Amino acid sequence: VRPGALFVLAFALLPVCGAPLLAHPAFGRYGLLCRTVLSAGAGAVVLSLLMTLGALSGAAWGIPWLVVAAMAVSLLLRVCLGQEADGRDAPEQRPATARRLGNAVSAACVAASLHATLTAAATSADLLLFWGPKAQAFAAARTIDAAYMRAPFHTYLHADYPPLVTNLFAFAAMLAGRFPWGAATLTFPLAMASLAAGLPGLLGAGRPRQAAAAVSCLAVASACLMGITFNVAGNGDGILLFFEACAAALLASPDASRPSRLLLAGLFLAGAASAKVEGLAFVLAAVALFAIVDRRARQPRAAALLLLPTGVCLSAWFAFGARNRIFGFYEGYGPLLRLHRESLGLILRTLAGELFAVAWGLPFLLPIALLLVAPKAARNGWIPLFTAASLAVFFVFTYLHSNYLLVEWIHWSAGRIYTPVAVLLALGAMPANASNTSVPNETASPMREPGGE
Amino acid sequence: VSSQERRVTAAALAGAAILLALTLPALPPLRQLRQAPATPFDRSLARHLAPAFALIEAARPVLPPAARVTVTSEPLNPILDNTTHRLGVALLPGRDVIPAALMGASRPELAAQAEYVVVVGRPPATPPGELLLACPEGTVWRRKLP
Repeated sequence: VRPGALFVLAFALLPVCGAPLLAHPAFGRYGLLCRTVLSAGAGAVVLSLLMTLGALSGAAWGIPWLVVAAMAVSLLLRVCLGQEADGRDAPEQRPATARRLGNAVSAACVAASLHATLTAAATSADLLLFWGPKAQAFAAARTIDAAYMRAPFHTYLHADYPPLVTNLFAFAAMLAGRFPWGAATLTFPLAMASLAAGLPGLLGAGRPRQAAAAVSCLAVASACLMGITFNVAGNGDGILLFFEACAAALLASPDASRPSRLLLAGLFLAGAASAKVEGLAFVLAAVALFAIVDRRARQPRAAALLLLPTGVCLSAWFAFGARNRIFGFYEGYGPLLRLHRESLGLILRTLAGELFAVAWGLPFLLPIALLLVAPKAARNGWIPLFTAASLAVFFVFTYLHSNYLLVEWIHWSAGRIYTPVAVLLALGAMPANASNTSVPNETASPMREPGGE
Repeated sequence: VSSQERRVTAAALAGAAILLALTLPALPPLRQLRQAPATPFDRSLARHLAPAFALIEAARPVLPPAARVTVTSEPLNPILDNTTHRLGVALLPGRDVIPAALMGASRPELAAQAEYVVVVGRPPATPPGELLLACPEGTVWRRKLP
């Protein structure tokens, strides 16, 4: 079997890692395809955490023990959830034409991303500049190779970047026997396919399923168009987007305060924070907004379910950095409040130019137009919108930290980092309540919050 | 199904169809799928890196493990050399890749430590040593170190 095929096949082990958790009856409403995608996300987070802990403790990575240990952790999480049943959505009364149309357009968008990737039209230079070399070295060393990152002339490898993407790439490279550069780019269409398969189930649980399929399809179309235009194949942006979009969809759902949803959202938030630096900003914004709109999220146990996975994953990473004296925290771009305020106008003008150059800004304008068509009623529905706004402001804040090659910096990064903003805006257009769904049939759970559903 | 749901569904589907329609012209022709690209960068925004990628991949068999290698360009381009060094680190695992430029400035004193020289572009006017490989994207040389 060719190394490239084995590399891609390794990603099929991720749903296996997360399956014990997602097999819990509490997730029964999501359907098989959606649960498979959610298993992959949860499995990826647990696997990456185990790889980081292995590196921290000096245990050499091995595919069999990593997979078995990840399944064991997933099983433990399932046991911790206790008894929690799930209500089934009532069968649809009308033919699901819109759903079929939405799925067809989503499939076409994923096919477009695959076509662009296979023809080498969407490859990110960052794959070759740091994601790939690190993963290749880590796979060869069977650990996060601190000496490699400390080596002279390797300072450009961004040693402080969180570990999930390089861990997953290294895991796949171990199975492949080497790092196949072309196959690594396929993680972009894979992430898009995962979004297309997972979002309709997440958005449609307890809400109108036809609208869920349509809104998912808009989100996937935005992600594919921007991913192809800004070349994200092989870098961490597609994987970050997958975690962010799924976490936002979970937090915006009507049953978001159930322990099972909080735990799953917590795992996906951890995935975002462990994928790229800006994932932490997303986590903080999303959790803060969730706490504002849903009083049950302010309970200590709910906050723990949401934030503990991120805390554990990042603590392990920073402990590894400190122990090996590679980094203490994110190196960033200097002191937090040392800003070049005079650059604000230039930043906003350049950003507008970059973002409106893609299809006249339609990935951003269409979801906003959709909000005008259907004003929001449910408070949870505002979470993706305000998270999108928070991220947009955070990126401007980040750009304010440098005036060295500022226009060039925005040119090579803005389209990629603002893609989640477009996708979150699309998710925010989801209508609130389903007219054809049953109330979840929740039974006593040891994690259930007082005053819950 | 409420009228609001219907409106959102129709508008979202229409929006997605528009975005898909705008994606398609950006794609290479379908016939390109029949022939695998020579490098992952052939049609990407970083297509200027494709020749260096192809050359370094081709050079790997002639560069022994643990060899000290530098990757440079002809005519000399310190900004490109900054990136070709990183390509060398990525594509030549197990070799000691030494930069010919750092932060956009040439570093000949560092490059001089390398026994093997990968030159992206035309062959250098003065051969740096024994020619090991020549291909359209560049040449690979072995030189005697003092």
